[in-house]
Amino acid sequence: MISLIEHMTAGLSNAGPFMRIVVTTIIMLVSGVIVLAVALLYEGVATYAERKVAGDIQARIGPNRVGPYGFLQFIADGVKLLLKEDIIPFYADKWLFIAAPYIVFTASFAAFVPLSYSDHVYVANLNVGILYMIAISSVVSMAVLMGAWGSNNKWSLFGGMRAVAQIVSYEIPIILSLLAALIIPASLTMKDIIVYQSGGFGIFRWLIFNNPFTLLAFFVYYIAAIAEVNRTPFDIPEAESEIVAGYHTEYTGMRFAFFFMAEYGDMFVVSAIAVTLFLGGWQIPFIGALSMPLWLREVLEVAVFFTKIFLLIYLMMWIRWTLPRLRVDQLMELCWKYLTPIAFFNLIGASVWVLLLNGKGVYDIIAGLLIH
Amino acid sequence: MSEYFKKMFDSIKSVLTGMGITIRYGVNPGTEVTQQYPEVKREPYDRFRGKLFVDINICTGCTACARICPVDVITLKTVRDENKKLRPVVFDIDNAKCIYCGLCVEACPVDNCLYFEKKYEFSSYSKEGLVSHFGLGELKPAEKKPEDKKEEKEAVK
Amino acid sequence: MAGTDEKFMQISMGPQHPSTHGVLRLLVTTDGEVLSGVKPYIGYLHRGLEKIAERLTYPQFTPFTDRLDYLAAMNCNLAYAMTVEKLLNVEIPRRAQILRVIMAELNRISSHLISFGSFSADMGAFTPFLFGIREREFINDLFEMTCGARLTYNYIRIGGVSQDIPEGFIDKTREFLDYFPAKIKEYNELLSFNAIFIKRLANIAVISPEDAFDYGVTGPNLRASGIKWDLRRAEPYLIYNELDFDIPVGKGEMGKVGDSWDRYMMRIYEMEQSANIVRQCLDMLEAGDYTAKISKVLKPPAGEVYVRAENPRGELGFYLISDGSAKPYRLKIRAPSFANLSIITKLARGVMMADLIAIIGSLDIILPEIDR
Repeated sequence: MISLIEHMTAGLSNAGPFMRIVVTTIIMLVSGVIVLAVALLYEGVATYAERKVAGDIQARIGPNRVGPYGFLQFIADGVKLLLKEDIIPFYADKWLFIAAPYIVFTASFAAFVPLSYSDHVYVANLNVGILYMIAISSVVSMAVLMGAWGSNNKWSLFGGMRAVAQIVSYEIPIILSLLAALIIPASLTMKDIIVYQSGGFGIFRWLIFNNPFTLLAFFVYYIAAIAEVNRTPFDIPEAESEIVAGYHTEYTGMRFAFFFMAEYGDMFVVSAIAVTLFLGGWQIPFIGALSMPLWLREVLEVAVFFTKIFLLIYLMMWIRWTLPRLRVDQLMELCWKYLTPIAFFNLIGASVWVLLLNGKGVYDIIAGLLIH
Repeated sequence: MSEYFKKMFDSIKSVLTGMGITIRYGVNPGTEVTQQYPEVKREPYDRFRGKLFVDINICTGCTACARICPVDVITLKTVRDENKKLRPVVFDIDNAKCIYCGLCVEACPVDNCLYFEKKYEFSSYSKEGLVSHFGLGELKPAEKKPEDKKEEKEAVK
Repeated sequence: MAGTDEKFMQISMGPQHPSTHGVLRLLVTTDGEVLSGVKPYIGYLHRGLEKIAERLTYPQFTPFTDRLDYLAAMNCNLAYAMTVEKLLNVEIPRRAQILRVIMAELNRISSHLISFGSFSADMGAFTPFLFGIREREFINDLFEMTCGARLTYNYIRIGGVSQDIPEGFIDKTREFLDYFPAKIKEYNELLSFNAIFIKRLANIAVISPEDAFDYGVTGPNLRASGIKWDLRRAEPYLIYNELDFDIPVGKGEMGKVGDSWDRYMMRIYEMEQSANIVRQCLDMLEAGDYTAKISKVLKPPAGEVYVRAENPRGELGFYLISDGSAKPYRLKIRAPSFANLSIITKLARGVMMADLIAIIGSLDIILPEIDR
């Protein structure tokens, strides 16, 4: 990975076309496997963290049997799920039923690809980065409906319908609030957006502090993103107390695990978008990182990036273990009556700000005043 | 319009209040109330109704416990020994059927004969494993007493 | 019901469903999310308790009353003991009466805690459930100290109570009573006045006073409809007429009188009142016998009695016919949950799927009592 791909493919320009294809394929496969490994490891850690956070909040101990502090619990869980019987209901639509979890997982994993983990660590620096991520995460809704319909279970169907209605609706406030921030760096590339936010002690030029509208946009985005990944208080597609387990009612073993991992993967992805767009990505706050050796800087940047993401994920977990669930119509009401109008007016405000002040943020203005 | 914003503000405020409570537990490691069971075992109180235990040597074979039991958990067979005393040869308690109501313990006329132990870990792989046998076993093929109610009542008194 | 209409979908909710509070089966006719009818099917937990009573002696049946409303076993014991005592016409020592009130009210608190907790879990907030369990453990400890059991107590017997309270019980109870109000405040902040929670419950499934009468709804559900009817005041038994306590009634604080939120809130208010009663009783406790002198073999005179008592879930009534022998001729149990459940067909018409869960939770039914 790293920007190796670019370097190597550039170096291959005088090799034969066949060699070029082979080497490129190998590099892509290797980097894909690395990202997959990171994603799986993260998902394991996240499930552990979720249970531990729940335990803390609920005055319990939480997992503590496997490994130190129960840290290896996720491995035990994974092994357990692998060994479980794989049941395909007799009346299920087999192809849909079997394909759905893989599509969900693939879509969620594919969204890891355009992320910029640090200055030089990324898989692909797509010029349509954000657009790609929004598009690929929408595939989830289709796959969920496939699984729900394929299960031939009424509870699953309920869950699938709810999931699709919810994900499609919440995409609008998400995009509108993202746009309010995107118009400032005027780029869709993850890396460019993060680079734009450098300076200001690594914190004051974050887009969230750029102007009041981006601040509001961040909160709108975050609320909508929680809904997008189906977590409490917006977890109606898998509302356990209402519709059993929603769209994955009939799934067992590893197929269920794929849905489960996809949910945690999505959490990472939406948090990563928030961090990239609003919270300065891998910009290291308060430390003049430019004087450091390159390797140390890269490590620090990756660490900072992940820390910010985990903080946002912790916030999601904290919200999950606090709030009751909304009803379906109330969920839609929140989306269409509150988040969408706010995001829309917010976008107009942000555009006016950018137009009038030429994209200067609050920090730039203050800094400009101080210098003069 | 103002109501729209007021509603929004109130909702956010109540959500934050709730989150304030949960974070207090979330970051405070001293608030756990649970124990890690196999390592830390909770000591039951003195009156805890756990597994039934019979001190068979002082049992008079009066069958008061077997008669009061509402779910017929106790199987009791008595024979007279050489001193004409009733001895329980079979005294089985089916812990799977027991409802731990304590009526038998109260009915037992002998002190410290039938009582509850503070024991609550007696799971078993089979139904038979849950039956505790206290009987003395066949002493000798003595003359078997039919269920004579008058005699039993004397034994209670 | 429009069950055969092709426009509607019929779903069996239960007997295995996370939020039917046991093995209740509801045949739900839905048009998407909106329900057009609900039909409860009961009997999955039928054990024939009324018939069992006919082949057991009077004291032998007491442990079976534990298994009616297992969350409020003390109250069931109490109602049964009072029934037989009325038939026997015995006077209960004062200490025994006070002990009975203490136990019954403590059990009312613990029962309402479970009700509060499971309701919150139904609404999607899992943390309050564990908080409720945590406080209930305290009460369970008190009961274990007193009678050795944590759930099925068999403590209140015909003639009094089975044994005197142990040393340290009073101090420990006072400790609980001092610690409890702060927890109720916490519950209110965390759940009761949460905007999402109120939105889910206010104006949902309103029971008008007339309906409540028609369907025989009792207990907190009746009082939530604004009717001040509590047997502890209306037909005082034991020492309730000497005690000073309020009967909370629904005022429609968040919506209409008698909505789900009112029903939920009744239980929170009653917990406060019960704690108050226990505190008074502890002060009144005086030396004396803990049980009346009654013969070991009970042979009440021939006749029939009906005694009812205020259980946490409503009026529990025992109708007992004696033919002068040691065993009851007939025992009829009037279970409060049974009558409370009957109104569900009326309430759950035209509501949404999620509201049905709210209705079941707010009625606070318990299945062993319904099926008997």
